[in-house]
Amino acid sequence: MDTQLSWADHRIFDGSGEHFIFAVEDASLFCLTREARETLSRWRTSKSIDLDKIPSPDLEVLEGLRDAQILVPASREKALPPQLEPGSVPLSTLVLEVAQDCNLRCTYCYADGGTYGAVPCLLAPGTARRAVRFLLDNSGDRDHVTLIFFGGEPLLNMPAVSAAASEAISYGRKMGKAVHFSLTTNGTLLNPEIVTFLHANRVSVAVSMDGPRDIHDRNRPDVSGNGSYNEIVSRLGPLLKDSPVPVAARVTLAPDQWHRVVEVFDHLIGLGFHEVGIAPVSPVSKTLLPTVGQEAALLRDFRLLAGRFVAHARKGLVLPFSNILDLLGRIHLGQTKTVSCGAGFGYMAMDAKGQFFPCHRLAGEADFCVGSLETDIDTDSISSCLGSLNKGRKQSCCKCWARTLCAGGCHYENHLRENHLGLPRGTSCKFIRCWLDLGMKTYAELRTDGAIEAMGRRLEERAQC
Amino acid sequence: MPERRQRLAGNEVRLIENPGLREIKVEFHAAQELDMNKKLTSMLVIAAMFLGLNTNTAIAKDIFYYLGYGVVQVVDGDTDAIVADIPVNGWIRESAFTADRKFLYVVTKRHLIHKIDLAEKQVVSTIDTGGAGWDRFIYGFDLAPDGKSAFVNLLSRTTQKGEVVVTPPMLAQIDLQDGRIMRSIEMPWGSTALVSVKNSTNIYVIGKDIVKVDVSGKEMKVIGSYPMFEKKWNILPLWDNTMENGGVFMANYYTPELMGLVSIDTNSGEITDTPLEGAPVFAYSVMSSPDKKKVYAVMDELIVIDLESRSYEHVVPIPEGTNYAINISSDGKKIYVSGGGSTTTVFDAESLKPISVLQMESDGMDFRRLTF
Amino acid sequence: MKNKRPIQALNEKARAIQSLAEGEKKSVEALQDGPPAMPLGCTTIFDTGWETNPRPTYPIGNCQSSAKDFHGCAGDCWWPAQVPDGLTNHEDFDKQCPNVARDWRVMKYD
Repeated sequence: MDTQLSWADHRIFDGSGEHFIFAVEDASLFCLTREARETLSRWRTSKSIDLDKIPSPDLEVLEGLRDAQILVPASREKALPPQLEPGSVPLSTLVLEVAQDCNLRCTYCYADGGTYGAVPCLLAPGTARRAVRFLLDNSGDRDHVTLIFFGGEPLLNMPAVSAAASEAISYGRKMGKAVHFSLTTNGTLLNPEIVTFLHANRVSVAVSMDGPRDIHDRNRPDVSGNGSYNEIVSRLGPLLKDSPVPVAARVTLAPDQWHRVVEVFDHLIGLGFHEVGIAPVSPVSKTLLPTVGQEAALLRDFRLLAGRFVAHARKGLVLPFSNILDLLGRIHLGQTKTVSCGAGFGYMAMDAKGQFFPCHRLAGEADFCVGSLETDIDTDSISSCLGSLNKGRKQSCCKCWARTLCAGGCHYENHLRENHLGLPRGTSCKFIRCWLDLGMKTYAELRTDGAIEAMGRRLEERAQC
Repeated sequence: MPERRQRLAGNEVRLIENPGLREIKVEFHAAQELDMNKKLTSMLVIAAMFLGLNTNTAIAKDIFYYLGYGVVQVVDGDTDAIVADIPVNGWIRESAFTADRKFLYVVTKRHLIHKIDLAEKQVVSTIDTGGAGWDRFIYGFDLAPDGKSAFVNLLSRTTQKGEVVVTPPMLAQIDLQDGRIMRSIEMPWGSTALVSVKNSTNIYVIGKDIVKVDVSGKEMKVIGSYPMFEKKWNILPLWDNTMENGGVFMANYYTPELMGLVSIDTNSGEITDTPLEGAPVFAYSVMSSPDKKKVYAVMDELIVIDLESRSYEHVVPIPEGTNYAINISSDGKKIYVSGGGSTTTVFDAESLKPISVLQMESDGMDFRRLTF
Repeated sequence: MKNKRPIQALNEKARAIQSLAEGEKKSVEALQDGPPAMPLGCTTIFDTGWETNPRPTYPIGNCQSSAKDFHGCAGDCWWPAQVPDGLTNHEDFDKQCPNVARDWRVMKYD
């Protein structure tokens, strides 16, 4: 075995009485004894270590670090991860904007009231069917795909939704592929018939609700300026009752609301939602950019929820906080990313006119149109539009310990901040690192006292969604 | 003493060769139908041929066979030129000549047995020892005296329920007409080569130890073994030139301290160990000089071992690089190193200088000799 | 108190990496005892192989076998990690380039 070793990129976390080490390239997480931590700090500054010259007891620790691939042969070439080509990844998910229109006027909407800056229109049922066939035809040898009904407000166009669903079932059966349905709705147009449809097709529904009435109504008024909270709550019951799949609440909060995250979470769980995911708003305008204090408040509340997650786990319960579940799942498996998300790589969005975009958020941004149902998806333009957005980003990321977990962040967020708001690169980085750090410490805490054992499989399933 | 019979000019001639003395005693018996003139002429012809006998055995004609990849190449031992190519499917490992020297059997890809007609210079039959769900791997091959069957050491492999199963090696006798296994006996793991001994009444299987198997009866029976493993011998017995080597199988072995030579006299069955003095050289294979005073070894160098002093007398680098196999002209004057890469170098045995280099068609394994 | 290892794997990736290291140690032992089955392999006995020549003799510092007996090493699966294995997956590997020193430019393997 090679005894000339050097340090692989890693980060040390010191908790209360616990020490952890995260190896960046592998996304592997290890726990260190106090002695090992102390030994490590003595040797860390050496650029090169020759195991043959190390005395016991340090040798045992350094050999353990070698076995953990944190000390690696100096000769080892850093193999560059393979460059993913959009063309090489078959489609797995298609977001269908069944309605480029909406009956609400949420203050932070990135879709200009659902229209994506264009004339309001609805997806024709025939086009919806074509889109479904397109998804299945381009899914390679995947045995299942996902269709996401989106908008605007998808319930404004049930004819297209049911056409797409029936096409998916019959065409999917012909191709031997299963189709999973998801739908994101503002909840104001739910009715018994729609609920029956959703339950019958096992659609995974996310209802956009922002918490207690005051927060929700401020964020999500209807076209007349009235709050939508009451309307939604009055219609929610049948959707939640006897649902064959979990129903989630999807929350968006403005920075000045970030100090109420725990309250929002509790409120929505109280309404009966099976899971709650909370997103900090995308800064569609300068007013939505957070201050340092507001970011700190958000992290504080996330930390509280993470702590509660751990407490629940010790009792064998799972706190249904989407954010932490998703993150813990990835940390559990040690999933590394070379691209920040699937946008353009198996994940596509189609607007009501049949034009393709790498994702639902980039839809409507002309620069990011990458094809249409008529002309097919142009994988070169996926590479070029994402490429120009991310030019040089890998270089900026190359020293960051979080790079294999973050891989550059949401394209749309970056586009908003850098291209629309003219901010320099990296304004989200600190927050992202804090969030990932929180996830690691939460995971480490769960792991070291064994609370994660029961949850392991659940997290694996989550990570593979 | 080895004896050869040959027809020369219609007369049957018995040549008795004593290699030690380089002397040829000749007896010949004239065929009865010849008239006196013919008899005289033929006697003169014979005499003329024998004139040079004590200094060069012009009668002895060496033909060498280069065992390559997809090809056997024939090298004329007088001119050292490649005179023919015999296409063969696969990479050659084992080989054995029939007693009448008309056929050469080669094993390729460790499982195909090809019979080569040396006059026609082509493969005339092939047996695939694999089949019926079994992969077979042949390590060691020798022909029974009647040429109708062969003794092989076989490893067998199959898949059961998605798992690979490798059965222990077995010494098997294979019918060369139909390819079926006539009988077999389990051998220890590590069995890699074999030699037939005492007119094939015994087979010695060489692996971690040498296992002696009596094959003369109805059943094959292990009758003894010669220890090697407990003596920490490491051996690569992959090059078998027993036939050319005066019926003696010889290989070099290594212990942590030294290199030695182990030889099996296939006439008597006797096994001899000759540990050598001095820091070991590196060698793949060895062969005796015809006078049995020297042993030549080959890997990156050509090495001359003096048997009397048990020492390495000369070490000469091979300019072309590593070779696997070694052979020697029947008169002992030319040494051929071959196999490994695609070159065969001919050395002058006296001066140990390279005389010529043959560029072979492919890389190769071994270099065999037939002498007429 | 349980005698803790200095470095303990926490997530699945870390476990996989540590078991790799354990597995490597085990396979070295495994090759040394028990029926070795297949393949035989220079790696299991004494030969340093054909990358470098450790001997102070010709060819000094480099074993020319690395070019010269490529097929000899591949055919019987002597170096299963470095060259195509002739016993199982690449029985006819030699056919695409039977003379390595002459035709190495056309040699192909992953």
